Amino acid sequence: MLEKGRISSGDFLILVIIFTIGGAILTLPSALVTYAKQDGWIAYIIATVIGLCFIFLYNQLASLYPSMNYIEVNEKIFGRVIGKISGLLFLFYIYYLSSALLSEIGNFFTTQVLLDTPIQVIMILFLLTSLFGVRLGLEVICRTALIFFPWIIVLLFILFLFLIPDIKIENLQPMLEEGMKPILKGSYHSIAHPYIQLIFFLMITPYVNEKAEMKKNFYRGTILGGFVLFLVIIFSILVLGVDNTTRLTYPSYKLGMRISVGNFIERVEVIVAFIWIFTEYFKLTICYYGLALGLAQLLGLKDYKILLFPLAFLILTFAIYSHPDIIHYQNFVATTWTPFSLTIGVLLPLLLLVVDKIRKKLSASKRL
Amino acid sequence: MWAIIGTVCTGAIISYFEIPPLVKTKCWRETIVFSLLLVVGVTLSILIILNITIPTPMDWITKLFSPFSSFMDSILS
Repeated sequence: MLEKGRISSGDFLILVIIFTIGGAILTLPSALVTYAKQDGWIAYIIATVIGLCFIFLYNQLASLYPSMNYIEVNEKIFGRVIGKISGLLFLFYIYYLSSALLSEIGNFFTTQVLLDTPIQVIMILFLLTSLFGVRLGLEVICRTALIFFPWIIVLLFILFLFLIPDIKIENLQPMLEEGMKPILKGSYHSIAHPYIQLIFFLMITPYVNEKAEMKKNFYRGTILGGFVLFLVIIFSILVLGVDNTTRLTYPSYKLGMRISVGNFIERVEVIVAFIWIFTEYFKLTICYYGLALGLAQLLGLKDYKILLFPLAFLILTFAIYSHPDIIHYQNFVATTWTPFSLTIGVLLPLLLLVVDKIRKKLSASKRL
Repeated sequence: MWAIIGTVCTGAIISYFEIPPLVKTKCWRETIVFSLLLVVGVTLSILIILNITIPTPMDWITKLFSPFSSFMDSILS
């Protein structure tokens, strides 16, 4: 057993919420509103319902072999060779996810906050902090998340509370202007952004203490995180309007700029940046942790901590060369990201379940 | 030039601290994996510093999935 730490199901709930919010809160509204216009919030509700079906699938997979994580389950069900290949595909997915998170952080800082700082410096600093967290293990990451979680909630509350005076209901009208197709397109493009990524938690489920409570908390965490994202999307549409939300790269950051209470509380957009940095940090850290743990299990190593420094180099370089510029990145997200994650996050787990059923039937009929 | 020297030095310092305990406990597998990954990482960083374009795997994946993504586009628009 590579990981000796154990976390409670409450910690798990908080990790799921943070993982769902992180990464998506800043960029999702723009992508969704581009496709679905003022009906983006309907598209997001549809995406959430589909996402809950995926959670059902992941819960099934987690209860199949409760003491094994995804990499081990792959080897157990598919056999040694094919299991290693499909495990490697999953690890590549996490690897790409962590480097995409890192480059998102770099892009955000160099375009909005620290304009003259080289992007590599920001990435290296962020990755080093993350590395420090991963080296201390899963339990420490969860405890830290527990400390920061109230802050995230308070900041979100402040953001939404102060935005209420700026709401314009007209921005939501007309509803269903162009029929259902744009809405379906929007939800198709947004299922991959927070929900399929939750497959990552199959790496952590064996280390959670109360299994029955954990399954419920998986649903709860997804719904709560989804609710926060829903609020962000609907506030972007209500306050900024469709045109602005589509045009901006970071609409929720602009939401913070709009806050103005009695000419006294102004320009508090940094609270959005804080929420985003906290959640993105924990998302990156547990992705990095899962990557190192999975790679160590795949290669049969005794300790995953030895892989952290080389992986830091690899994540950093991949964040720089995987997408030469932001247009390339946005094209990739618009065309390939959803089918790619559907293949790895839905098709492979489904295949695992089916193969396992067939295997169990075969061995049962042999015994008879 | 200084960036390359810095990268190589960082790699050297990391291996100076990480490899001796591994060799002492005779974890040969770990040592091999560690050095391989580190060499690949440092090489990639040097290529990036020298401004050499590395072919990205994301382009291959885009090509692989392009039939499906154009099919979804034709359905949904």
